Parts: sequence; structure tokens; C-alpha cells
Amino acid sequence: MHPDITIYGPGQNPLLSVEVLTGVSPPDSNWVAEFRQHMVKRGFEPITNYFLLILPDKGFLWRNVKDSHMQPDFEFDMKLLLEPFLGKRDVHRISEQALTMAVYGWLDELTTALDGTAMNNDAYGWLVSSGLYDLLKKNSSMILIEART
Amino acid sequence: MIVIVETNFLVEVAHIRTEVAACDLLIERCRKGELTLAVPACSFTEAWHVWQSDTKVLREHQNKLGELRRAIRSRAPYQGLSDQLTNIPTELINIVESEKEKVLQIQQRLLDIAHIIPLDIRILRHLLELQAVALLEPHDGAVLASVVQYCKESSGNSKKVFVTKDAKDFSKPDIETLLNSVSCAISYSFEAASRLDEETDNSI
Repeated sequence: MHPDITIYGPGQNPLLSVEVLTGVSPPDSNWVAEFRQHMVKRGFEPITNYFLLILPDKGFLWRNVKDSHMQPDFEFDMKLLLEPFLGKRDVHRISEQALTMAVYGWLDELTTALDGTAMNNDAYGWLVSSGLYDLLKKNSSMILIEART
Repeated sequence: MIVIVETNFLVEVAHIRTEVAACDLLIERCRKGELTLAVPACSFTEAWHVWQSDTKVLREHQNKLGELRRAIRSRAPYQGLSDQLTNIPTELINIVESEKEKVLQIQQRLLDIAHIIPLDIRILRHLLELQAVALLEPHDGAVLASVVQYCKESSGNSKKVFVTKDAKDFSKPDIETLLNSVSCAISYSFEAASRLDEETDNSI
């Protein structure tokens, strides 16, 4: 299984796998851990150290994915981050296609604003704390974002 | 009069194509009881396939646009040009969601007023026969088998017309013969069909 979106660094080195999911509103991170376990059982094991699961209103980030822990390391609000692309529409009615396009757009903008300006935003605490910001910044000259269509 | 439409009727309305006004008129005439609209159930799912295919194309454009913006950004004098493309992803998302809503709306309108032709075992058997002679691709075959079965079961002397925009696939002597055998005419224009009435000649 291929992730919905993959971010590559120089030499096509995969840095981040992103899975986009609609139609769910998880009650807590235990549900997300179970979902992740389900993905692994079905053969989805990201080839990157970082794995993002994006739901319409929430994001979950795992780091050191290969350690096989199922609980996400970070949970954050997605509504504000995707608002420039989705506007004020009801995110729980949005199609997976449109959500994936919004996530692609967001990652595209994010990876070109790694000069630190956007990182002053409180909404990006998880990005800095997880080390993902440093990884992306280090590779920013040759970033490629690939979305599975 | 019975007007049987298929997937491209839903697509015409959902994507606001050239004959949308004629499609709306057909719906309005059906609502007033001037005609009966019938739609194969398989067209409901096929309309989503069309939406998904169209969305796939837009997503591919978005990916290419992302690459283009990156290429432009790396050339300092042209960074402003990259910024001018910033809003395009949002507009593409608007198109995707707007067309999804319109597919939902036309399906709801048809569920409220039209006869939905269920995809049952008789239609599937007929579809296999059509496939055996390679008359049509499977999705078009399912539509044709649905139309034929519906016409066979329609009682009364109402004129029956199957309307499709897909003249390329349906305009074949064997198909017209098959439809004639169940007293059904074929039209390739919603506009022409919307002006038909019981007294109109069958040569559309």
C-alpha cells in the first residue's frame, strides 16, 4: 500500500508519509492507535520515520515509526491549518479527494515557509518538537511532494 | 410519455454542461406529471465514477502545479509569479466539492420524482448476453439491459424514448433494433427530448 502523500528529500529519499482519512471522528488517541494497528496488519508500514495521519479536523504524528509503537506522539488541530484551502465549509462533509488536495496544498505551502515565519504559529508546536521541522528544513532545497491520484 | 435517461443526464446537470436547461425542463415536466422519467440504478454509481475520474484529473493538475511553483520559486526574480498561483489549489478544491454536491443534489431530485430501474438478475443475465456479442462496454451494457427490461415491463401505450448523449457507443443498428423490439425510440439530445410529447412522431 502506498501512502496518499509522500514528501521526498534529495535523491528521492522519503522523509514523510501522509495518510488522509475522512468519515471518522475519533473519540481519542486510543482509537487512532487501533486504526494504525489495523493499517499495519493490512500491510501498510510507512517507509519513513515520520508518519502523519490527517483527519478532517485533527492530525496525528508518529515519529520513529519503525519502533512499532501505535500511540501517536503528537495530536493537533487541523481545522485552522486547512482553513486557507477549505474555507468555512463543514469539514465532516468533505470528500477524501478534496481533503487530500487541501493537505497537499498545506504541505506545499508549509515546506516553502521553513524560514521560521510560519513556525512562530502556536499551531506548529508539534512540528518543531517532533524534529520534523528540522528534517524538512535540512532538505528544503530539493523537496518533492508526491500525491497518489 | 416515458423518457429514460442514463449517467450522462446526471453528469449534464451536475457539471452544468451545455444541455443542462433541457435536463431541468425534463425534470420539471416530470414533476408536473407531463412525462415519466426513468433512470437505471447503475447510472447512480456510474455518476460517481465520472466525478472521481474528473477529480483525478484535477488532482494531477494540482500535483503538476505544485512542481511548477517549486520550479519557479527557485528562480528568485520570478517568485512573484509563483505567488500568483497560490489560490489555484483552493479553487480546484471548490470545483471538486461543488461538483460532488451537485451530483448529490441531482441524485436526490431523481430519487424524489423518477422511476429507478433496479439492477436485478434478469438485467444481469441480459448484460451477459450483450457482453457475449461485445455490443457495448459493461457499464453501457448495463444501461441498455436496464432500458430494455424496463420497456418490456412498462404497461400501457405510452411512447418510450431512451435519451443518451453517448451517440458514439449507442448509435448502432443492432442497438436500435433491440430498442425497437420493445417499442422504444432513441435520442441523442436532451434538448430534442425535452420538446417531445405524446403526439410527436417517433423519428427523433
